[in-house]
Amino acid sequence: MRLKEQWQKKISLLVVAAFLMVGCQNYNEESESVDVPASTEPKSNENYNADVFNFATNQDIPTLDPHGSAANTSFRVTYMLYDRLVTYEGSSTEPKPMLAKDWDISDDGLEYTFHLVEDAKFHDGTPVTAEAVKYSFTRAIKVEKSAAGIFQKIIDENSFDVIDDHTIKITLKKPFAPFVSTLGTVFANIINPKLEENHGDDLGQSYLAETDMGSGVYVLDSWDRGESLVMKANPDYWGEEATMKTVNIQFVNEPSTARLMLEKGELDLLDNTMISPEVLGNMEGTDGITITESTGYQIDYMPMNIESGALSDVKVRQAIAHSINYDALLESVYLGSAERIGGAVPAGMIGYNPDAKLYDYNLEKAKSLLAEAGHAEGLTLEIAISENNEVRSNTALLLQSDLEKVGVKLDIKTYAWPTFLDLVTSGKHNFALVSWTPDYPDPDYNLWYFGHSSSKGPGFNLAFYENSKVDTLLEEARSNTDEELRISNYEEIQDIMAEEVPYIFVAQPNLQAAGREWVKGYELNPMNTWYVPFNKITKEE
Amino acid sequence: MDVLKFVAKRLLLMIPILIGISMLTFAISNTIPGDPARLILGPKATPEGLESLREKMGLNDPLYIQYGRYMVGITHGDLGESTYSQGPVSSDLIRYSPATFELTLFAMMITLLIGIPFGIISASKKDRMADHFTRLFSLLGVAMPAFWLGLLFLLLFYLKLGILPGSGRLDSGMSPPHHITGMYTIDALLTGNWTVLLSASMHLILPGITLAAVTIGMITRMTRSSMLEVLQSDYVRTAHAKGASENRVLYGHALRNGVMPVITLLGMAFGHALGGSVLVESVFSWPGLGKYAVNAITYLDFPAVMGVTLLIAVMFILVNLIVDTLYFFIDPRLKHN
Repeated sequence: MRLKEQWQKKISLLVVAAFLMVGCQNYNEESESVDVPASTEPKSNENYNADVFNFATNQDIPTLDPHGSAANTSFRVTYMLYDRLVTYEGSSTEPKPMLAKDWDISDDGLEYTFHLVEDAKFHDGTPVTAEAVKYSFTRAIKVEKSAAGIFQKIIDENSFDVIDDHTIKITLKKPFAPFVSTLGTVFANIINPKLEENHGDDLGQSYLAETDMGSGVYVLDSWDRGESLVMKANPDYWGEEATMKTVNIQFVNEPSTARLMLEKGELDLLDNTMISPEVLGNMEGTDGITITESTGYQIDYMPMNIESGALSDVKVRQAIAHSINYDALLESVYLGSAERIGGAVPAGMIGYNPDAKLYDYNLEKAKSLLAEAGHAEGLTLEIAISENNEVRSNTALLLQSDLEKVGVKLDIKTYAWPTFLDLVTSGKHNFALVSWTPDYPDPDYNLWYFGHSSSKGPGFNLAFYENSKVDTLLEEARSNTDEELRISNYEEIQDIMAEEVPYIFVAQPNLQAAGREWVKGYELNPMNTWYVPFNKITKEE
Repeated sequence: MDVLKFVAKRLLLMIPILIGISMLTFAISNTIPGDPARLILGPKATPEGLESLREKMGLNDPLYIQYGRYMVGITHGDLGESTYSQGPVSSDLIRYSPATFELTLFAMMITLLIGIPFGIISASKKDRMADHFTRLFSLLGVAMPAFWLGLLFLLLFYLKLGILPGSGRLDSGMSPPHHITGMYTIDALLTGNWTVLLSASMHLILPGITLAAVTIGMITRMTRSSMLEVLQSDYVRTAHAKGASENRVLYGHALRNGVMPVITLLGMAFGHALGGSVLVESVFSWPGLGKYAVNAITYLDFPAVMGVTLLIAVMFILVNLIVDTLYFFIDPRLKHN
């Protein structure tokens, strides 16, 4: 028995000694590294590969059909596989020629004549012609998905006149000022008309879901669903050849895993929506990692359902607007990388109204407005948010404590995304927190969705706001090509809405993406936040 | 003959069980508020587009008609179309399930290789150092959330030590072996593709151990307690008395009886591992059923949710059937009763 005890003691001692040695070794390693200046030898990463670009996203791609998807992760790929008549380059939101080298617009704003480049070819060698343009738009409308939502109101099958192989005239049903801007969206991607051979009974949607029939700068190489999608540079591209020859998009569900892979150098860039501002803050300063930041057109806002209860009173809404400590919110939730705006048009976009009324943080005013509205004794309201979004849950918590100071008890209800979407579009909410990024850079986009009475509910007018003056101004601006008139209309709408506060625009956050320092030439587009210019990026160690 | 009768009876019993499961899953997933058509089309879709898609998807029909249509489809081998991937659910299941089975089988293999020996050692060295160690080890395995353990493993073995890969099934840029079973290690072995075999095996280690941590804990604890009971019994004392060596008593006499309850538990552990794969697959970006299921739920892809649930239910029932059938061979008493 004594022998056994002695053994146990010896083993315990050994274990303690081993721990101590490990500790000392670490300590020695650290002290040694202080002696060696880091700059003497450039650190090279074993995972560095100048020819392959490794990008990670946590959202799977549902389909590669440009006309059939509402998912940003599909956009990122189809934007590379297909060309459009016009495009947005780098951080610019100005439509630039792509397949259309130039275009003429008739004075009444109804006829658009596009002259196409002559050497563009689809990946199978078929030339890109005016017929292909007609086919693509017609199909987009017939498919009746996201793409149709944009085009259905202004064009139909009969809107197209093929003048010759490389000239097409599109006649709109009614004037639509932002038309050229919409042609740079993924929904306007031009598809090889040979798809017709594989139409089946769904206009080729299931066929095109897994393949590429574009003329873009990249060609689809392979796609293991849920694992990775590889694109190779198109060697016969009619335009400027891509810099990165291979793009490997990996689906990494768990953001923490992606972060480790980035630190290790196995990834070059992460999807900008993947990491919360707080974690990005922690990552800043990590060896070899850089955070790219730029202004964006995303707006984070809070619709107030004016069809329900207390919020139908404008005084209550104004009181709410006065009780929010905006500075604290921008500082603590967005860590300072966001701006405050007064209306639905983001700063930087045409039609932005810098003078739209900004409500100050004024608790006394808020209390007196509430008292005027007959709620001096306080009231209870609910805010709906979708789960798994740190920014939104932190914002809701902050609002909760702010509103408590004026006697408004705020219950935070967190829902899964599908449930949330159903709730807010059917008007069963008081408040909600939503983010919104326009698809094309025109005030019409945001204001029509947020302000027009026809957009109530499912059309994303989540405040269920209705004002006949706003409707008229919107309709007039949409069907007019006179830029001055349009801008003045949009500014007026923002003023009206700021007074009636159907929405509180919480923040216009900056876009931030984490990547390796060796990635050069990556710019975040304020609007197409999912757009990564793989064809322009380089890697330099 | 008894065995065949038993198996046939159990297989027949599967039908009402599966019908029950399908009704439950169908009812639960359809009571979640949310409109799948809107999720597919996004906020920019037109009301007409929404309506025609709802009609096409049959969402406007009463629930029992939708269920009836689904069940009729199943009898024809049609599991419906995934609203998310826009392809047949059956081909999605065929695509994603090999990865999950490979991972689960590997985890079960580790569980057997570590769990049972640990349990035996622990029981035979009761209250000694080895026993304390294995008990602590198995307690940690059972108690630690797989999600967290996975991240710890990644930090240590992937980021710090850099000896094991962190995500996916193969090294980036490597193409999968010729498709036979869909399980990369087995396919690589069958086709003699050694580089792929090495890469696939390395990728299995971290997720496999993470997934197995819980089941190893379960099996070790069960083996220990069952062996302890057997070691107290009269026949073991007799074996000792007649002078049999320690090993002979342990492995020749005690193990066969001691391992009985462990076998039952193995069936449960397999089910646990299949369920646990949802979390583990997320951490290690393992493109299997778990990842597919999470996506399906997020997008209210009812046909896909039904497909995954039914497939996992069938697997679970079959594995338990196999386990129960094994009893006939391990416990001869059953053959006679």
